[in-house]
Amino acid sequence: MKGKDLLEKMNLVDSKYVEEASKAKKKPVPWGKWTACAACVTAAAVVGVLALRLPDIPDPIPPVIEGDRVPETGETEPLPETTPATEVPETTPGTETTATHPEAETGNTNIGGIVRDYNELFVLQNTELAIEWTWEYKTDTERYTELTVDGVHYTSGGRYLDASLLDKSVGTYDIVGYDYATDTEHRMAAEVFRIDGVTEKSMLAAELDGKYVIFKERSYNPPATFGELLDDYSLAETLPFHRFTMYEGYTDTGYYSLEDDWEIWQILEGCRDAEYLEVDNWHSIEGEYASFTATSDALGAYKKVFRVTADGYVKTNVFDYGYTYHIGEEAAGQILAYVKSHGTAAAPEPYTNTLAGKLVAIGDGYILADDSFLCTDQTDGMVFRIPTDDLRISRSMKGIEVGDVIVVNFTGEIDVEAGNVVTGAYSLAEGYVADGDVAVIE
Amino acid sequence: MLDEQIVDLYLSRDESALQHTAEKYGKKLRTLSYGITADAQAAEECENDTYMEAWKSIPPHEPRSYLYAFLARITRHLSLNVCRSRDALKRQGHICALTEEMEECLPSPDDTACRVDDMVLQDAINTFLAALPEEKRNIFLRRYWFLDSIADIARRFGLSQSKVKTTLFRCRHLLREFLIKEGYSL
Repeated sequence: MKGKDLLEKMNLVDSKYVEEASKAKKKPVPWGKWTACAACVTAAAVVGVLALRLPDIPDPIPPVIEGDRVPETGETEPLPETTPATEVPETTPGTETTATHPEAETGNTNIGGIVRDYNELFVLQNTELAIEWTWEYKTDTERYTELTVDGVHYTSGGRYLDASLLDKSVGTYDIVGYDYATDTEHRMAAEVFRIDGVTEKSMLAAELDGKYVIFKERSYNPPATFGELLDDYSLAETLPFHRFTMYEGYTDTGYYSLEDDWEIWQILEGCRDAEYLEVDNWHSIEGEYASFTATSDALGAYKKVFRVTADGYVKTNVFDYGYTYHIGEEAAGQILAYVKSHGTAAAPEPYTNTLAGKLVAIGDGYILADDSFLCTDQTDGMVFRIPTDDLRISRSMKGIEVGDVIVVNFTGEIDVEAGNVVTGAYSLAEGYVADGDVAVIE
Repeated sequence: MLDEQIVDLYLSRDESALQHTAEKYGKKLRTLSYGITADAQAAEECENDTYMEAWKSIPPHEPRSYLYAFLARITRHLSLNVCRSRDALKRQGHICALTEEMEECLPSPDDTACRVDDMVLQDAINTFLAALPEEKRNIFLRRYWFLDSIADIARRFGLSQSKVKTTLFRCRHLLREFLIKEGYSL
């Protein structure tokens, strides 16, 4: 890559930073500091506003931009449906106003595997979504991300491995963390393990925060054949296919669940000689393809994609880079025919789940949130239990009291049998309720 | 008109969306493009092409909360394309200077195609930016996203040009160190 390439790739910067920089200007002079501070507080609230039940919006990479970026969420979370133009009150002349404009989704909403019948209230999140916590508030998993074993450098993306997938220990090693605020390097010793079925040259797991964090060797080194890929990662065992989306070109034509993926892996086993292709063709898909949701505990992959195209390619970003193998039209056709005849139509699945409720109790290691106020029939309300033993949750509890509205993001499910326990919660914020359109003065 | 309303016009295929977009953001987009192409006619063309691309891209995109960023991203891309494709604009001094500065961020700059997946690179760049203090991040983006001149950045932030240069220099080296530490081979 040359400098001009990186200059162009800066287009990948998040919209929030672009918006922030577009408005950035000189800091206010001291005489105005109190009024300026008040304005900052209001502006921060506006920036963080989130309509809870708006569909997730994919990153705004328009099709005109060439490149090999894999849509992060577009495969697994549907593109938002288009909505008709709706009247929004004009702002008061002379004031710049930002309004959340939630499209009311009355009726059933699927949250973490359970169906909730909610009314037209909206919960808005009033803190920044992406907080960069300082070192003292970070979990060890967030702090320590670099591991070197036998000269091989691995980095962590913060994904946890289920203990049942651990293989033997390879020893205790220093894991390095970097505090950018103070420009300080930190080290922590941790036991490191192999992962069952996965070659240690690619991935290891280290014990941090009482859990097992996946560390990946991230250099670009794709296996030359699909067979090697199958073997290096025991893909047939480690990568289950439970859901997929059918596409025709760039248009999704349906969402499906799949009970059994054995047949697919049998067909793929017959493609062991398929060669790796050095192509950047993520954006050049024409015709029909199936895009499987690729979530794997063993591989540290969450809702990535594994595509099988009618013109004979397998394309996946499970291993961070875009890997493409040519398996041939015959095998691809067999897979597509199988999934079309065995897939069951399913509702689109959000990339992550969001739950809102009123905080009704703060217990030892957990909090309880009640969603009655959101329900069409308030007697249908449920109380959810959110574990707070994870620092990512407990650090956000400061200032939040019983009676406050909270918004919890989670990647797991709601375990009804265990008492409506929210699993995989990774962030918590205070919210507030708005009925109908909301205007917040900037 | 609010961004949400403009986006709704796009979604309902109402062509007045283009007019409202031009009224609200036309000047900013043209300025952005002119800052890259240094050519008034090219800037105007890029601005108009931006509206057309937005028309094609909304839906499926619904940039209600980031309409300007969405449009600016298109304008930036089109403007850089213009610079690349037109000989007269190819060797502009400020673009050459910017690419040289960007090269300092690369662990091992070479002519081979970029091997890192855009998604991975996106993650790296945004992680790096998240760790930067806000003012440094904004200065960095004004220079390498909006391609502002050093003088313009100094005026915008009320800083001396040498302070801006020093900040950019440190940010470039921080990015390089970050990419090395994270193991990105660009």
